[in-house]
Amino acid sequence: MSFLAPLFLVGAAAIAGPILFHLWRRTPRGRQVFSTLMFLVPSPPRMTNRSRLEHLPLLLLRGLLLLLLVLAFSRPFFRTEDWDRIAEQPLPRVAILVDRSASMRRDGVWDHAREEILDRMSASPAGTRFGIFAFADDWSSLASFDECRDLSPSTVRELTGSRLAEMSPTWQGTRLGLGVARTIAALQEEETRDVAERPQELWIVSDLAEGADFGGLENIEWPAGLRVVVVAAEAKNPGNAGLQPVADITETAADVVRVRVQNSSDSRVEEFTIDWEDVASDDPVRVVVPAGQSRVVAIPRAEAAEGGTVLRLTGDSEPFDNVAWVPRVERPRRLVAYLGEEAADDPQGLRFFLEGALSVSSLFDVRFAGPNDPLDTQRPSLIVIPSGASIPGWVTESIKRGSVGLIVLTQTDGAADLLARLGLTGAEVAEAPEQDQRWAEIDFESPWLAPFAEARYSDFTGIRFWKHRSVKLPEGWSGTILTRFENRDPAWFVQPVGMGRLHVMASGWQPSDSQLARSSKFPPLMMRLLEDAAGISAGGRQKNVGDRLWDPPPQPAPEAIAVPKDSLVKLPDGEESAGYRPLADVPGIYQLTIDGEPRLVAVNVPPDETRTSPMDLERLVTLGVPVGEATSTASRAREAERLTQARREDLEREQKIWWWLILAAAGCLLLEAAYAHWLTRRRRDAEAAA
Amino acid sequence: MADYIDPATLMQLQSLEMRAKHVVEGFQTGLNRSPFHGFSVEFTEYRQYTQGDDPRYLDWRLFARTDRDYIKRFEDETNLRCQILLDVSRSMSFGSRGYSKFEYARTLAATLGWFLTTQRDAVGLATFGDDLYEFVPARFRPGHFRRLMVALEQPPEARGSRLNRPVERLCERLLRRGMVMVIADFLAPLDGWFDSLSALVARGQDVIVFQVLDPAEIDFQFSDAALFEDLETGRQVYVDPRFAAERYRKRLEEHLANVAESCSRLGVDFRRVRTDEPLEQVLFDVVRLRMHRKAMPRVAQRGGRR
Repeated sequence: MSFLAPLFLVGAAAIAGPILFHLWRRTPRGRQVFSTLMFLVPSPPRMTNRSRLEHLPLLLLRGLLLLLLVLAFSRPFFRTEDWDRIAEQPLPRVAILVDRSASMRRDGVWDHAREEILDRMSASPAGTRFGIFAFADDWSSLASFDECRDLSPSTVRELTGSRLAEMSPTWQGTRLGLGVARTIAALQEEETRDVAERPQELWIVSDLAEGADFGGLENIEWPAGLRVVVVAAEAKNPGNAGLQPVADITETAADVVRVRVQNSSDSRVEEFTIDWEDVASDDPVRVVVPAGQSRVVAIPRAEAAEGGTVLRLTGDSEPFDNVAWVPRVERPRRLVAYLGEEAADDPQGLRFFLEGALSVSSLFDVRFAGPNDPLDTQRPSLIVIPSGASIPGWVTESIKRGSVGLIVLTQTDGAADLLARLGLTGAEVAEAPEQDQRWAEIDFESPWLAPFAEARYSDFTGIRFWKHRSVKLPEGWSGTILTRFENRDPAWFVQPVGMGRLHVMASGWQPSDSQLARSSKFPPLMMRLLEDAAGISAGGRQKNVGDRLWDPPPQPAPEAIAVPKDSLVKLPDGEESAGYRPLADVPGIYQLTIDGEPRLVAVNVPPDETRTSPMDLERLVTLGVPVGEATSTASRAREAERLTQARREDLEREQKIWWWLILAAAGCLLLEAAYAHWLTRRRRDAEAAA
Repeated sequence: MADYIDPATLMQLQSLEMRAKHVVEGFQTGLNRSPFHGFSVEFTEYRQYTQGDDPRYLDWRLFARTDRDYIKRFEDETNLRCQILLDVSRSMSFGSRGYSKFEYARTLAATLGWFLTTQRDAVGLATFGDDLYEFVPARFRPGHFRRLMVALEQPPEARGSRLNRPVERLCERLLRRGMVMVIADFLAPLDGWFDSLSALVARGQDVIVFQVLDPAEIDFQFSDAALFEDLETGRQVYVDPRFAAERYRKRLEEHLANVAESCSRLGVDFRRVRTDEPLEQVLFDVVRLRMHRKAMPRVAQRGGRR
């Protein structure tokens, strides 16, 4: 039996009233005047009378009457099976996704996020299933659904509180799309495990900075019925300005460093100064950047300390992105050997274009050696071998030790032999009958072509190859075809040889073979090969937190690495080094030592993290995110409570037990009155008879 | 009996005089149907004896003188002097039926007074407690009954009741023979009471004793334990009726028997009156008592002088 107004049950305490009255009747508190006491004998007061109830049936009737009234007022009803079904409505499953990006480092944001999470968890109905996850550039689980399943609500809350207290925001960017996708996967995984059908919610707890990366959100298949609640963690001070080096490797040689000062749209300050830290320099540079705008400022390069220097922006209240790390200028020497016989200034040959493309490199001090030039003690980084050239003995050894060999098949004569000598046996080379081909299949996933993956760079259709050699690779060949011609002949393929690599191009870049050399894509392609030989990945020495420090892994493997404070990056042991591509986790200067030579990588806070003004939630809606109201769990609990109450009232109204109780109470009252009347009359009769 | 007025109803009447007149009126209506003709004891007139008359009422002296049979029809009552002696002690203020014993007793006194007045007798009133308080000598004159009524208005406030001292003082005032009606509850130790009564009797007074008791005093039907307070002394005693009632009744019975026996021994008429008894009934019994008394030797004792 349940009650609609259980508070009325307190009224049952009124039963004590009749009991007390029936007890009190026996206490000698009455006074009786009498004509004379001469015939009366005093009787000692009998205390035992106090505990004796008089007129028990009358008392029982009165107690029952009160009880019936109390029950009627508390409006009882019986639960039916239908009710049980409603009452056991499952509680929601909630995935909490916490933003740990660098912008969460702003004053008060992380604390606010933590409080919001804990408050909302407390306000959730008991029995809600929680899973707590965090994201920035990557995604991690703080307390999975599995872990929380058997814990009490308070324990889950405590666990979450302690996990959040232990951690702090990272220096990474905000890959919201990735975070949401992984969390939904976790939700779906839990859904398959959980037998109960539950409504699902995803709470995104973030500062909602407009610089967040929404990539991938539009492709997410949202589970039916999932509600996304966006919980905003607010900073104490609105606005933020940040400083980032303009990532332009061609500029690094100049005597200035170009930095971008970005001011968020909700900022209240617009005047800043930029100065070198710990380095003697001229006066600080003043810069005015209105809210919502950015400026690129050229700062005269200062004398760099070992490793690199730091530029600091002052005037902004949020310090997390006010520092730009600038690596020390260094242009290591690189030797490029060309084994062809043609002259360096022959515009019909390969060498002319090769030297032209590589000599402008600001990254390296490139020197070139011809087939007859004496090689210094230095090993060539890149060895370009046109087919038909004679191959000195050191070439094979050099490639095996880590140099990059590039065979350019300009003719078929001796091509197969050349390939065989350098480690690619069994290949057949013939002049292709098709003329005027283009690269049709391009593997942008490969590290050499990855810089061209973006749509605006990925168009190679304008480059025509008048002639090419058809290479038939042997069965079981282990290498990667990077590009193919339209007739599916391999156009460019690569094969590892010892610690180095052997690249083969089936067509030359000179004008008689193709338009490649005259394409704007030629210098970066050649640079990429040289970088590969130098062990530096695309993107150069300027990186952001969350980028890979190197990709592909440098050849040879780095001997040592010096990382900024708090960074967890370290070199792997032994065999693992081949596929090891660590992520930069802390801004600062990372120094690799490769082949005895230091390589500096400056890592900064991702520039998008500076854009901290609040994002427009409409943008999420247009991306298909099922954004619910911000307080949906609380209101859902209220709604569920309202429905339950309505159902209880319906049941009570249908059963009308109170009516029967009132009827019984009335009967009881009649009985009581009749019995009391009978008692009184009996006493009177007795008195009259006496 | 069914025509009698219930005392509770009678007590609703504010005027004592009205109560008395009501009772007497009702009583006289009943009397017309009865064989009694009042209790006057004096001769009034003669009439010729006719067959069937009671030969006891033949005037033998006249017969001897005139040789004619005459019957004594009435005796004039103006010669009867009746003094009512009313107990006004506090114990008389007890009552369980909505009116006190005193209320009943003074109504009884008024009723007797009015009845006697209608019989052309002289009525007086004295109130007593531990002393004699009011004293109105017996008279038969216009306005005298009203004076009695005023004397009866005094509330019962005497701290106790003893008879010897009041009777002593009464005897000083009662110079002629007559009748004394004592109305009291007699709920006090009886020491000296009957000596006083016998003094009255010795002085030639015809004494009638009315003992007025409340039904609650007789039955003691209290159910709740309580502190019982003595109306006269103010003393309080805790009494649980369930344990005390039986003993009370026994002791009371002994006391009442004692009173009745003492009266009988003195040759005094005794009538116990419950306050729930109709007053007409009491009056009727008194008249009947007087009739009986006339037939008894004591009447002859008095009549010997006539």
